[in-house]
Amino acid sequence: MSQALYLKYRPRTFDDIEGQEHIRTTLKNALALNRIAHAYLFTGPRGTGKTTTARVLAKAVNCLSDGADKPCNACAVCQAINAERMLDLIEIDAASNRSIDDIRALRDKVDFRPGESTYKVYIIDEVHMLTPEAFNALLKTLEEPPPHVIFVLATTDPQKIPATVISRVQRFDFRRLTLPEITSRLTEIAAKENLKVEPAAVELIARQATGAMRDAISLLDQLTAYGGDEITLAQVQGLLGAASNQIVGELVARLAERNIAQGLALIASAVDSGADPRQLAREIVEYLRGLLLIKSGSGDALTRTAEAQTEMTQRAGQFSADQLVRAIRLFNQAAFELRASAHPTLPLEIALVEATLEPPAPSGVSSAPRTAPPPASPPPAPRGSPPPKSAMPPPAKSAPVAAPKENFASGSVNAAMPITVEIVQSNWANVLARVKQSNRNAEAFLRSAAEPIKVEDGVIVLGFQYQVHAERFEKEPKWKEVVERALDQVFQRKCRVKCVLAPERAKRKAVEQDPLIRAAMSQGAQITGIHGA
Amino acid sequence: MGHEWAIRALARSVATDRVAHAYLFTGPHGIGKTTLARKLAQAWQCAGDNRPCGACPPCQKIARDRHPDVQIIEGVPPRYDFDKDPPPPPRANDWERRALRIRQIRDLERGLARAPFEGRWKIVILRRFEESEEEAANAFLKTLEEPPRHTRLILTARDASLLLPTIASRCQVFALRPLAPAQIERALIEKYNAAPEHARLLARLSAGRLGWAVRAHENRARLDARNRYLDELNVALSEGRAERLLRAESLAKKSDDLPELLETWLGWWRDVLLIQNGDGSRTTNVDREDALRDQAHRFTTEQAQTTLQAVRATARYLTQNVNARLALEVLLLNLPGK
Repeated sequence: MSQALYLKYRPRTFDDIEGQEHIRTTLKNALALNRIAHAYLFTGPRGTGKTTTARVLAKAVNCLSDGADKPCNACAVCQAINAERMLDLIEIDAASNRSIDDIRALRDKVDFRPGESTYKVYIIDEVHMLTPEAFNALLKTLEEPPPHVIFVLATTDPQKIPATVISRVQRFDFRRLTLPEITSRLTEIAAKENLKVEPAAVELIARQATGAMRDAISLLDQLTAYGGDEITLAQVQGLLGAASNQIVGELVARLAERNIAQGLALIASAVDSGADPRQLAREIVEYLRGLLLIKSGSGDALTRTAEAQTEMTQRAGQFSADQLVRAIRLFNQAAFELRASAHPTLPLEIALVEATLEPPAPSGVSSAPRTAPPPASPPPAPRGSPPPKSAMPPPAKSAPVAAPKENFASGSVNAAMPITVEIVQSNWANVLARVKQSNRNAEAFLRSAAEPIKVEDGVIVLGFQYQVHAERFEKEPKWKEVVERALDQVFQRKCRVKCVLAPERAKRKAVEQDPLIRAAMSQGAQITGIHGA
Repeated sequence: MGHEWAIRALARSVATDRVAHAYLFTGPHGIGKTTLARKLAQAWQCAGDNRPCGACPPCQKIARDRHPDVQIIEGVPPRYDFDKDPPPPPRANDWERRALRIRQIRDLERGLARAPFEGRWKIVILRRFEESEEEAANAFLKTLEEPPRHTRLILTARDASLLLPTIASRCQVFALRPLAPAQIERALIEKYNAAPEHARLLARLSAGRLGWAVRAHENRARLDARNRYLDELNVALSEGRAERLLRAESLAKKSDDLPELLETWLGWWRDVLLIQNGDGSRTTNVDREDALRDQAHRFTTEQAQTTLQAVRATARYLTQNVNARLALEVLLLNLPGK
């Protein structure tokens, strides 16, 4: 079995490492000034050089050469590490050895002096997988390790590292590699391996890797294994299921013309000829994003040929910015849904259909199922109540009610307005909020036990479900006072309250919660009576 | 059958012996990931000349899952007890939830430490790796990066983005793509003796998943279910509100079927929209052309589109633990009426 290219071309010196300028410089300076920390934490996405840098660091601190350029890769120690036979470099996979016993075993060995080098270097990879106990067991050692020990912790997931660990280490954040960094490294490797790779192919590989060097090199490796020594753009597209730019451009043109039938035909023919629907969705998003950038005047930020640029500029003119944003959202959603959908192309087709058609009028369709009945149809008022809502005067602008954060449920309240049960009910939450400010107990009690059911001669009647509650309320004159004061403030007039027992309220409430009845009520039905249990 | 690009690439790697230690095949269920994995395992273990020959003892054993050095590992049902329970039965349907546990990875790693028993390699096929528990996936990272000699690993998953990025980036990834419906249609007729009409329908419904089409051909249950779902929809369209509410209630009781039901409905409304916009040649539900045309006339494009969105939204709610009955009630009430 041949060695994987990403292992074969693992960088061996700091200067070999592509990108991560900030980390290389810092570490080299630390080495030159001999100010090496005893514990490091390397974090960053996959394939950005964490383990590689850790190994180079291990060589550099132990390198025997006199020169300033460490590691030399020539001395005995460097060579031993490169050949993976150095006993003082200990690599631990924390995902497989994550328990406290594993860390104790490590701690027991830490004190032994290194055999052949100056420092013993422990590289703990995937360190985020250690159990909390294991982390805690490590703390003391991490803070004050023996002078001959250096720890390097590496992880893709720094959020999972306890703060107590982070504060004991020097943290270095590795960033995703840029497109030029990846292409330059790929070109270098291709040259060393005697491969002929089209520049456009290199670029597509690099794009696909989204900033992870290992992904890019693996892909190159895969292509050499299957394509031989010459790698063309068509081969990369074939392997990735990437559609040609031309197809994507044409699809977007159909989108601009609002031609659903031809758009779907294009998708079908692209997929039939081997394009991956998900990849296609992502490419469309990428293209549309390009158009949006051109539209907003920053189009030259992207690298592309002059021809493509003219074509895209022209196409950008066919869309409004809103349309583009909407289309990007739809195709992005499709790319996401394609991950888990059983049907391999449906989400993409639907995105095209939806992006082509005008958005339907927001008629309330497809809104989330609600747990409360629509506000448009409040529970019908009990018999003998004042006139219905339509008789309510328009809300006054000047309602000088101060502060509670909650909005009024239905407009403000005007002092001149006759008070009706609907008004009280729709502002009840507001009343409760005021009650809460002066007496929390009263508020909690009222919220669960009572609600306004009618207004009789200006007196607001509170209905209680149970006898005990009504009695309790009567026994607490302070509560009544608080409620009346709150009502005074909200409704701008002197209000009085009265308690009655209203057991059927509870039953009605339960009935109203029933989804069938709720649906009926949303269609305009009213509850006139409750029969049976 | 199909995936020629992947087969050509893999065959070349076998012929030139430039083989990676870990592969990842991704794609929708029923597209042919495990089939391809078995083929690759055969090619590696084959004793014949034209690898895989399919005739030598190792090839035969792998085809019947009897080879001692080719192991297929899959997740176990929730709360499965490795020490007490019998081996889990095969999955009832594509939606059934299973999980690959860390214990399985540890057992696997112990096994890999030993040399192959009779083959050239120890090969492990890990199916549906997206179902692995987080600890299991993490514990597997190091083995995946630098496995013991004699080891070759093949993972399959729905999509690479459902795995830990560190897993996918250690494998050579082959994202299998849907086949052309015409290819599936031909295969069904030639290899599986399907009637042409039937083959055409299955090919369209499968949307490029040969495995799905073959299974639907061999076992009518899938097609029956699909017919039932469409009947439900068509009856609901001619019903009043009260009946729709009752229907929602009864549908919600079979919550396991809902993802498939909604997907069938989505496909239906896609077809209606297609016909409305002048392309009747690409419809999926070719056996119900008349009903499709009728609805394309009866409803406006806007109605079809809002319905499509409502169905999608409902599918999304169901993955977010919304009460299934409420979600279906809203959907059914929003269907266009008589």
